[in-house]
Amino acid sequence: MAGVTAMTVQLNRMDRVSPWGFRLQGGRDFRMALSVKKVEPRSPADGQLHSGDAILAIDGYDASQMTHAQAQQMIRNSGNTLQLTVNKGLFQSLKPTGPIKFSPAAAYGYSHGHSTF
Amino acid sequence: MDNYDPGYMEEEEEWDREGLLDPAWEKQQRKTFTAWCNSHLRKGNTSIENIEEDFRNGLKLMLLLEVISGEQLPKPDRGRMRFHKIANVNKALTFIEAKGVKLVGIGAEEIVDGNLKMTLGMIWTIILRFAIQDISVEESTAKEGLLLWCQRKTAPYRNVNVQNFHNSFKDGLAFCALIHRHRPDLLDYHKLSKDNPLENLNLAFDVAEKHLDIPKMLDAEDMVNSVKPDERSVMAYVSSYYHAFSGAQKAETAANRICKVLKVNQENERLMEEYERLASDLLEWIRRTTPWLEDRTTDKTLPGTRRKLEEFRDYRRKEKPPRLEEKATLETTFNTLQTRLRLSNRPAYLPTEGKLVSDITNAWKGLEHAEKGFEEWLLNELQRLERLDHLAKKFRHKCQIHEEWAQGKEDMLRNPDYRGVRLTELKALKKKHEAFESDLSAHQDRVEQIAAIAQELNALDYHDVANVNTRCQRICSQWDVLGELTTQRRHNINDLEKVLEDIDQYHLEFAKRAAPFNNWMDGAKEDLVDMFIVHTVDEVKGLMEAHEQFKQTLGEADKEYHGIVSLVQEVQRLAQTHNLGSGATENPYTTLSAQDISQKWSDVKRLVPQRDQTLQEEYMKQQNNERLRRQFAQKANIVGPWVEKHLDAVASVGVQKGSLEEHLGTLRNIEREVESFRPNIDECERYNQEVQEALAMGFDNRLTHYTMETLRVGWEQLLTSVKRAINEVENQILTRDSKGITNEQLDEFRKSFNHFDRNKTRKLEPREFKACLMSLGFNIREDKQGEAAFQRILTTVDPNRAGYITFDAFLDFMTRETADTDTADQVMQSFKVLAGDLPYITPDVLRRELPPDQAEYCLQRMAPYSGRDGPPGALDYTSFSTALYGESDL
Repeated sequence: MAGVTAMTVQLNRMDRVSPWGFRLQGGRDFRMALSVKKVEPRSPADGQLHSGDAILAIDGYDASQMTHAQAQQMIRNSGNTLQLTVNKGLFQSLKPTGPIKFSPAAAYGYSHGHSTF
Repeated sequence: MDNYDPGYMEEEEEWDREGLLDPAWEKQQRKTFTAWCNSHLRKGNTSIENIEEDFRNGLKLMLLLEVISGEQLPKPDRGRMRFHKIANVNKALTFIEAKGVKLVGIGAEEIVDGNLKMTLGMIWTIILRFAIQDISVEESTAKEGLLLWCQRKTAPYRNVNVQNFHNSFKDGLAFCALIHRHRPDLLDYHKLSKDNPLENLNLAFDVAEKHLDIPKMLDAEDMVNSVKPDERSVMAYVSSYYHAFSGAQKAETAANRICKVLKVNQENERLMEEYERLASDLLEWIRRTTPWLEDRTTDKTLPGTRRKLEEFRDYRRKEKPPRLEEKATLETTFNTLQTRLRLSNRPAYLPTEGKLVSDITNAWKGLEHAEKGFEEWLLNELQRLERLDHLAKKFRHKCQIHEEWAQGKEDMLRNPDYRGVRLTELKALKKKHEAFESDLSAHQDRVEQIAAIAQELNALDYHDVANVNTRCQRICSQWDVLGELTTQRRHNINDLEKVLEDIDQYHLEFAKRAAPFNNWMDGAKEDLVDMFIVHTVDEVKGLMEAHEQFKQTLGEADKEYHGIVSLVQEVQRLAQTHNLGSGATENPYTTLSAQDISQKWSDVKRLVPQRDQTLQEEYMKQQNNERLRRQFAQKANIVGPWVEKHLDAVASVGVQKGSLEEHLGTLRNIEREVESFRPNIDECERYNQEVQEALAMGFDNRLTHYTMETLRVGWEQLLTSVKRAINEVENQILTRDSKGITNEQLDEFRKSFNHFDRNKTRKLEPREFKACLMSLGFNIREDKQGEAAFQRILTTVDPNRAGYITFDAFLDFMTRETADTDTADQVMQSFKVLAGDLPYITPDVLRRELPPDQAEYCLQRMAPYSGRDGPPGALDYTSFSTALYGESDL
């Protein structure tokens, strides 16, 4: 499975009123990381962002402490280009591939490294 | 398509090719198409009267196309010249062709010239393209689609068999069936008959016009009288039914969806307000109450302190229990709310600053901390004050004895009675004074005791210390004066002593023996009425033994008494025998008389049995206290283990096998058991109060290790944990049912959850949760990035940063992908339907389509629509829909 790595993407648009073409969710006020909910086809965001991407920085500013409204305002006011640092598909990369079945043995590698058990 | 009359299609083709038009059909089309056009033109606030005249300049034709397509046509030419008109008609025809329709043989000139056949042909093309072509049921062609729709909708109706768009509609029942199928409230279909076609047709047309906003397009008489009604006219009219009904159905579905979503929001907001209100109220109460519990001062008096104890008991029994229930309600409201929010896909609820569940828990802990030891302190204080009170009484008693003794002593010492007396009398005076001096030193002890008690009262902060000090000071000052006077008098008498001597042996002996005996009796009397305070049977037994020892000495004392009295009797006998004057019987050596000694001796003898009785009563009282303590201990030893056992039972429910309903049943049983056990707690409270009232408290009850305070805490913990466990299981049932999880899946989740819940708290710490996820196959790597990923998962399962993960939240996380919940897009789509596909919605539409409550909710929250194409007052439903789910489009 591919590792989780941060990368920066740049979106471009023709004018300041056109939408970037993605839906934002989360924020400090929702106690949930800022992330991309969905992407509009044939929009500036298409192909650059994907549903599930976690947003780490907006135009170089750390986004981890931003509220939803702050991030929204910052992205709207970004001129004709927008730089986003994202973690590609963070949640998807963690999900089990097969059916979910309980197996304590799978956690042993983890538990040996710690004194809890 | 086998059920179509093959002649039907042939007929139309032939008809088109030859350009022929039955005059009766022409008349019907003219009427129907005019009405059809007007039903759309009214949206542009205009109409036509004469179909071949009013479309000639092309302006209304263009308007008609704009209204029915919802699209913008090029700007029309405003001139009145023929070529302007031709240009406008051509713009309309170009638009129609751009929609993929071939206009065979229809030219702009003929329309401008007012050719009726051409005009009707063009309007039919428009109807076919814009009102019928979109109707395609199961990929049929436009006309077949409309026919199939009619057949499906009228299938349940007897006497109706729609095979075509002419004769099948002639008797009017098909129209009535279509209306009745969608709006059964508008007509009574079963009363209609095939034999009254005129009546049926007029009924359908009237109802459609009045209630469905479909203008009359057909003439009932024409329908009945023509051999075969014009099918184009019938199709045009039937297509209006189709649009009216399918539109209404879609709008209703959309409105229902929006209502459902908004009701969820309103209910959630109501719960949030409820939570905030409860939290404020509870916190305010805690804020008010805590300082009172923290205040460990009294007014130093017994009644004031007892009142404080009463107030505390009121607080424990009446004031605090409902507040504890409020706290439990608060927690369950919070959990229910969060579960509802998760289930309806909404962001988690974050209470206002300072009203988090953890804030409430901390405030409550603060309260309990303040309360801890309050009662014990108060009881100790009460005991201290009683001891002080007793000490004060002892002080006053000793003062009184001393003051009585000191009465007149100053005057006596100042009296110069030794002047001019005889030698013997002087000797007597000297001896008398010596006796007084020994008496004085005997009283020195008491004065010291008085001073010591006063000092202790000062040290113990007795409330009426001012009076004590004044009295003590007076006694001490007087004592000093007496000492000085005594010294002075002794010097005066000693000056004369050398010349005075004669002694009466009997008197002397009497004086010698009576004085110590008298002092001994004073001491004994004092001891016999001495007050005591004891707390155990053993202590009182000790006092009784001391008293018995005292009684042993009474025989010796009685001998001494008789010895002393016999001396006086001897004097009297001698005085009598020798007939001496009364002066001789007066003992010059002592102020004590035989009567004094007798009186005191009888006093002592009277006090002995009294003391016996007092001690016996105290002995009974202590025995009673012992019984009360045993009574409480026996009950406490039953109640304590019972509460502990049931606490364990509640905790173990979650880890047992079985369905959630069985768990819920078990918990409900426990809840009932607990409720019926309550009288036992009340009984304990009663016994405890009896113990307290007998003042047998403050000493460890050797018979039990439970105190009332530990029992209360255990009991309240039990009540709370049963309620909390029931709420948890109910929320799990809610989650399971709304997510459609099977019991097997649930067992799987529970098995893994319990495996990692080592300390059986029914909560996982983040570390345990991580191991649990890995055991279920989640790929969380052992490095920085894996940790970062895990932290992000934590923010979704524990949005309130409680520091642990409940089974609820765990279940929710494991099933979040499968849940069928409404989403922002679905809500947005529903608003779009209500808005008639426009990107904005008007207040009128909201008020028309939604119940008043929900409409107002939207009006208060929707932002104005910012696009340029909206009318004044237009609202933005798109951002409203996403905001409902904590999202925004950018």
